[in-house]
Amino acid sequence: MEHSWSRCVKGGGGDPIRFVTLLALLSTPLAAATPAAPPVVEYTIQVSLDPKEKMLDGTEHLVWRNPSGDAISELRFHLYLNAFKNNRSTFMRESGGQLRGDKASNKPQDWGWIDVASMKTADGRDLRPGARFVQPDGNDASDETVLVVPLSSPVPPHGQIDLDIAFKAKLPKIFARTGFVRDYFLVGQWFPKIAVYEPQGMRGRKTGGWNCHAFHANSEFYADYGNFDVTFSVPSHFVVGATGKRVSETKTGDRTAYRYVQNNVHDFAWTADPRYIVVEFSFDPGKDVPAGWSAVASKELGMSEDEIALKPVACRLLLQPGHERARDRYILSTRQGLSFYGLWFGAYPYETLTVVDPPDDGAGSGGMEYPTFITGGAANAFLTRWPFQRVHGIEIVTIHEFGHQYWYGMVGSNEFEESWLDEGLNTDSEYRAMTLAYGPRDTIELPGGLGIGSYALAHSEYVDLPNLDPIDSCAWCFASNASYGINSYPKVGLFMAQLKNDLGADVFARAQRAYFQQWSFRHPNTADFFDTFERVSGRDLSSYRNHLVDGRSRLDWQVVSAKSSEADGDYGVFERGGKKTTYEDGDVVAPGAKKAKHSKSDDKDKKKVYATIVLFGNTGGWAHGAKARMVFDDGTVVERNLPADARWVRFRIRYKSRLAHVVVDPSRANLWEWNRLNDSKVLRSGDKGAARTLGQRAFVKYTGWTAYLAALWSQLLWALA
Amino acid sequence: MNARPRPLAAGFAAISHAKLVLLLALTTAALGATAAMPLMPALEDTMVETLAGDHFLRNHPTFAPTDFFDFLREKESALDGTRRAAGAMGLLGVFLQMFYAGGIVAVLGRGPFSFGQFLEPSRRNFWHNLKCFFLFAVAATVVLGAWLGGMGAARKKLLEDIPPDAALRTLTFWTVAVVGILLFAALSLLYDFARAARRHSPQIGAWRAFRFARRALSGSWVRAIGLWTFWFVLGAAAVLGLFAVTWRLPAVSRPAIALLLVLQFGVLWGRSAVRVAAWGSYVEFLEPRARQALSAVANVHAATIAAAPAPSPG
Repeated sequence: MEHSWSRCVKGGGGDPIRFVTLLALLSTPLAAATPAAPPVVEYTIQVSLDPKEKMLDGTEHLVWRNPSGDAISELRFHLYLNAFKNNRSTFMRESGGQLRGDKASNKPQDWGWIDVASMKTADGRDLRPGARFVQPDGNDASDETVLVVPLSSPVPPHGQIDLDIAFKAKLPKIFARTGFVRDYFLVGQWFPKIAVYEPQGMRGRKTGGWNCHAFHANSEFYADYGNFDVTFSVPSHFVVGATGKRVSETKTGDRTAYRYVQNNVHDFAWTADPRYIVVEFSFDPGKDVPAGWSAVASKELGMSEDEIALKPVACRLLLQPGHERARDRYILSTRQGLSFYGLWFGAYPYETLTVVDPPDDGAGSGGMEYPTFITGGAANAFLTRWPFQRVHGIEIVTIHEFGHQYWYGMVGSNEFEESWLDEGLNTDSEYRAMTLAYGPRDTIELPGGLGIGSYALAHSEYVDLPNLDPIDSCAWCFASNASYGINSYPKVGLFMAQLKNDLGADVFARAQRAYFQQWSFRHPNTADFFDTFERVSGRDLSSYRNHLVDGRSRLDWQVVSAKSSEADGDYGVFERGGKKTTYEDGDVVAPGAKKAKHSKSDDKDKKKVYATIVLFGNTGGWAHGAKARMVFDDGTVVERNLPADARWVRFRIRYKSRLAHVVVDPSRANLWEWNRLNDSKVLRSGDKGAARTLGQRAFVKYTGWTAYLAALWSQLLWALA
Repeated sequence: MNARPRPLAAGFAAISHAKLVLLLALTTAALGATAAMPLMPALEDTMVETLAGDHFLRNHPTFAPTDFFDFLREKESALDGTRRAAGAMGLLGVFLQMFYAGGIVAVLGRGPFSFGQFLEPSRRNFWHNLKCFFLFAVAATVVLGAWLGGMGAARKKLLEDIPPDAALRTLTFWTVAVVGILLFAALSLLYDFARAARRHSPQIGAWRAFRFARRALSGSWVRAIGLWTFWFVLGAAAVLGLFAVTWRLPAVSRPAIALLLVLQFGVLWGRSAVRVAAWGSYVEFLEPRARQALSAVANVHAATIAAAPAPSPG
């Protein structure tokens, strides 16, 4: 086989790959970051719930420690519940009153708000009269989700301020995470929450300042790590759950006060519903880690199974009546989440985990994460029965929400400004966990052997999205809700999978574990993510950052053309065996003759040769290589690399067999690839093995299916008419 | 005197008119094939000229779904064309079944018949059937719309503070659904019997035909709805059961694909057989009631109360 190839190179070559010896690095696991001591914030909150009026009446003692070298002359607070105060809040205007599949109620009793009645310093001065609402993102002037509190005397560098805050809050009817429906309460983002003061240098800041955004429809949260000591009082017939560990339960009359404590977290949520069915279960690393996972993680990380050992966790599931079929699935998926995230990133450090199953009419509160407290979903009676019990909605939601204990919970990235760092990284982790647990059809398994997996669904979302935004955009800066959703979740899942395939599973796993360990209980940003990955992998990842995260480049290698035809024999004068010989279509022209003498018997000996020309091209904007595979009729397979810096590559091959088919990226390692349909071309179904294709049969079968379904549609109309 | 067969037995006997069943099955198959035509070039392009066909046929767990989504995107216009074609063929099918019904009610239960003997009443009764359909469509929209819409709104208001798993929710849901189905069954029976009226009075108009149907069903609603339910359930079971078989068939080899196509046609045949059987039942159910119903709705001379002439043998 003779071949030659040519290519066109894109401007700007790739940087050389540098390989760093990792032995020394990997034999000593990076020291995990530990929470700041003392913590930046300490909340001690007492609150009482009036379930009839849906009101909270609370007092909050807040200790805030200035983490910077700046003197702080004002404090900023998030008052998230004011997003539900009226239809003019930034949240309501941006969402149009609809979010996550739920719709806000317009009834007067269904709005929500929070009022800070007073905010007193240790010396009794009330700061509330001087406080004012601001709109830091240039958002709606009527928005009241950010409160600025000027201080009469600044908090000195690394100093501390103690505040006693009295507040009242009205919970909204659930449509976006928090609120009530009937007697079910999911109380999230409910207390006056101090914002994050970022010192100079943190997350790339040139000067220190408050990072306190308004509550946007597509944004989530950002807060400092600290200690929470919360006592909430509810009528005694309610069943409750909360962040952290229950330390006391005090009954007074017909009410009970529950005290929960949790250190080293940045939020606190709780729930109450008289109808909960309580299921206590544990995570026992000795029994509940799925078979083989520890060994796989150990191999990828280059660590012993002892080094990645997990800790027991006391878990509590608060299940809705009618959802009993979901019970075992919740338990199993919680254990799968604890196993996957613990093994690959680090053992879950907290003692408790509460899993809340929301009611069907409170589904807007589902699919959410709070420290040591998550809400599930997709557990209604319809979805847990045949033929839907293999639609893994419960598992996906539970594993994903548990995963947020890591991405955002322990690695406290800014969900307002860089939603991809928590949602996207967590989506990648969820895909990996689900694929490990349920195989390639991890999302939906249908009867008849059909199914869809996470990566295929992610691909469909990625390619359907108008390419308007890069991944690394602030949450409210995306062109649409769909753009936010897809750029923050599945597109990052694909990006991380692309990175993993390019770096190798081992290097990727080690880099991601290093990122987790280094940035636990801290606030990293995009630059920190790439710095860690570059350091551990020893590779320059600027192309990934510039094109895939900060840019909007696509990758679209395709088979532009492929043809294979019988090659001409030799024509002309050739130097062979030291003498000049003249040929005409492969036959020798005798000296003095004008034409070659050709006899039919010559044909028997003449071996056919085919000229194959294949042109591959990358029409996407991202310079990234791929493999090409050319398969000939006789089963011969030729594989070549398509370089990253090439715009196109042409192969010319003379071979005794015709080309049967050609494919670029045959193993589909490039998850970022835009269009798979142009990745292959079949010229003919070959004779042997790899060359045989079944396209004709597929055409008949699926044409038949199309006609059949259309015919059934006609018959349905006949039945009705 | 020969005893008349019971309606159910008459229904099963009607299936022996194999040509009739085949006509309905072939018609729907032809409609389906026509609807599929806009998609064929796209399918050839994708299945034959790329490796996607292999991925689909071999049900590759990751490649097939990805190719499927890319196909939906890349061939969106062809899919849209197929959807529209299916809609148009469905509509054509509705008119065709009105046409066929005109012949079916004339020939069933009267021994063998030729295509000509079938087609002539089909043509003659088409306009009548079209008018009956219009009346049925209006009635169904109004009655079912009022029932389902009204009950839906009432349920929403009544159950606002009732938990999702409460028995009351389940009970009200199924009550609304079952009553809705019964209402549809009743309207459907009136419609079918109005069309069948032409068997006994070849000139009867649509409005009178509905009155005839109501009279014929009077006092026998429970039996009639029982018949309707039987054929409905049998038809649904046949279609769903056979569909499940076709769905699960892997069909990779040539013989398996051929078997799949045969089974798919079998589903169409089965559903058509049930439809013909249902007509056979209704026609038999109507026989003893027709005269009285006709005389109640029409001031007609006894001489005009005559069945359409029975087809001559052969």
